Amino acid sequence: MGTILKIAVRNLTQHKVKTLIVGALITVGITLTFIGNSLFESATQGVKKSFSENFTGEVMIQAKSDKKFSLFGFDEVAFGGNDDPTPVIQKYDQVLKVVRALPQLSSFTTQVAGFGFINLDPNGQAFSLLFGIEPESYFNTFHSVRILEGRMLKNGEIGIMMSRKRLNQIAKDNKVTIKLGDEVLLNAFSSRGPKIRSVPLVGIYEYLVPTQALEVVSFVDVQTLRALDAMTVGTKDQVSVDAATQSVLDASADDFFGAQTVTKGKSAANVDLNNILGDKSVRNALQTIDSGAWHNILVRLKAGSDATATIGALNASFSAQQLPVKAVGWKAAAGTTAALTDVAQIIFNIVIIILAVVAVIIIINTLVISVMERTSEIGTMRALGAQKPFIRRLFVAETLLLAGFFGLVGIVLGSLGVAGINLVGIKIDNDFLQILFGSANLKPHLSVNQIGLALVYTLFIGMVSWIYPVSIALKVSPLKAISTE
Amino acid sequence: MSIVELKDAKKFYALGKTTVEAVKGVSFQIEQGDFISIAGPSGSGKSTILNMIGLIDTPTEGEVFIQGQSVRLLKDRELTRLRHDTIGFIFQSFNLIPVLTTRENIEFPLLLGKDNKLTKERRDYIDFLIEEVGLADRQKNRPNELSGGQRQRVAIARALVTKPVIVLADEPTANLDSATGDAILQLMKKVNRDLKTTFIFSTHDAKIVDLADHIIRLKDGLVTENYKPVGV
Repeated sequence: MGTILKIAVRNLTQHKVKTLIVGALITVGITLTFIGNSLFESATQGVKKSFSENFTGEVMIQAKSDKKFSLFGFDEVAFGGNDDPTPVIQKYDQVLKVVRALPQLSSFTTQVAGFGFINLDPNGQAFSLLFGIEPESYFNTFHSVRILEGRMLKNGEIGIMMSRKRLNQIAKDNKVTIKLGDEVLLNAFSSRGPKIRSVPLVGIYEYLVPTQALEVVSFVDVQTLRALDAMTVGTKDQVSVDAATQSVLDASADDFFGAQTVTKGKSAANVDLNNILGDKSVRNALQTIDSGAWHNILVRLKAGSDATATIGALNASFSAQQLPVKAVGWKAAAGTTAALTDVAQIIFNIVIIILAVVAVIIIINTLVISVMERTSEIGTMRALGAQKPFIRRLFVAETLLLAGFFGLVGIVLGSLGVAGINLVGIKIDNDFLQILFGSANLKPHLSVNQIGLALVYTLFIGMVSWIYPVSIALKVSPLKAISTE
Repeated sequence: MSIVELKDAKKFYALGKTTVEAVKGVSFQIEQGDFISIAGPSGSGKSTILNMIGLIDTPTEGEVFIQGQSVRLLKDRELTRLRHDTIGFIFQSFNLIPVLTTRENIEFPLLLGKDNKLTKERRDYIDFLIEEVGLADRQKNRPNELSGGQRQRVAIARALVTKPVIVLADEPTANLDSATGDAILQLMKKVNRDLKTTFIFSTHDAKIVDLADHIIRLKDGLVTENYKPVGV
């Protein structure tokens, strides 16, 4: 093996230009991959940290459903197509018992998700995502905002909290300034028709973690959002109705205005308009806001807890107790916002793989030329008694040394690049990129994962590159020792 | 027993649609310790015969025997092993490994064998060969730092390092000036005499033919003369 390494190293150093061309390709590829993936890994960590610590918790519990619902209620990808109301957690008290029994539980809070429009007549309206919360438990669980004006909402208080950025945006887009104490008119279109609620602006805040995707979210008292979302009694629990009531509920609009409903021979003066609807107790009951209806339970775990194992344990408990809920991780809770980083990283790696294929083809081409130039040398070795495995080992050693050395150079340069970027930071002004990288100031970190991944890429390039050139080298006959030169 | 024997060996090559008959059926025997010249003009088939004896080419018809063993049915691996253990090569263009030094080139064939350890005995033998070919002061030089004659001396030492019973030399003086060529021939003759190594040359150099103690002349792929001059 010593001789093979000696020959391999000397061949590489002797053919400097070829070695440097191939080496530069490998180094540049590995450096870019290393820095790119480090950026994405840091972005993923950043998005994970900002979401799990400020908005989703490590675990989110939601009602079981065939459709995807995130922290925002709808899956953003399906926004506009998925108009189903967000399902409410059933058997809430039993679910809560399971959550409270978690040994790794740090804290939890509950949340209702919805959206509506802030009425800015005559200057149009502004879309707003709404989180209906119990302020005390929510802000004890997530220290995500800093009050700039006014104060936090109190438990049971009717009101709304909005971010400074959102208010500025509304002022810019709609030429309407909403000030602290102003009544904010919220419109929503629920499954039971349009709803309007007026709530005072009690607090203006900024997010402690710059999370562009959440600037459009405003916090409202949960009862207001339940009313806007038409989360009335019955959304949480089944209500029993008698057959007569059920027939009315099942009737279509035409049934109410058909010929049989026309009353003849009676004067309008004889009709008791106040009691025309008869007994309204069931209707009133059905329109009562359900004070126990929640969409999500957001759970923070103690430091060092295994979120995946906890989710598994929770789902096993829910299943055993036949509770129609499921626990999901922060990423599912965050929905498309968090998935964007993953998608971007996948696209980045696809581009890298395409570049790697091109680089490998160039390397193979260079190595094939090298084999052609050395047919006499190979033929001589074969004539002197070198078996084919010796020739194979020789070229494999050359390729692996080449890929390994320049791959390591790439890793070192990549590490220096990451360290440099970490020192300086990359300021991101673009909103989309801020969402993508989970931060306005990107600071990648060196990680063992990325070093390992870069080594795998290096080995891959080394292993793939030698196959074809070596197959050519093995076909070189000892006769070439005589017939060439 | 002859060390090399060819029995009606033929070699045909396809060249486009025509078949070139390089060797048309030759038979001869070579004894151990011979200093034999296979002579003939270009295209007479001498290099082809040398390649068949050196097990780097196979006859289309007929048989080649090395130390009494037919090589016809041997596989590539076995041919390579036999070639390594039995035959040394000296090429017209020297064919040294460019990245290895003089000493490394000489020891290279030893590293290709089944037993590839550089024992003290082997290192001493390499020292002896380097002294014999007069390159003691050029041990650490690479081929591109040596003259043509020096390179061929390295090639001779390399051919001898495995103590082969046969050394094949394909026009060994063709790329050397006259004085260097003479010196190389004298060196090979000395090795032949001292170590009883069989030397087989393909050549049209009259000086080699004069030195040979067994001459096989070829013309158009056939043996025209096979004799051992008296008193050589």
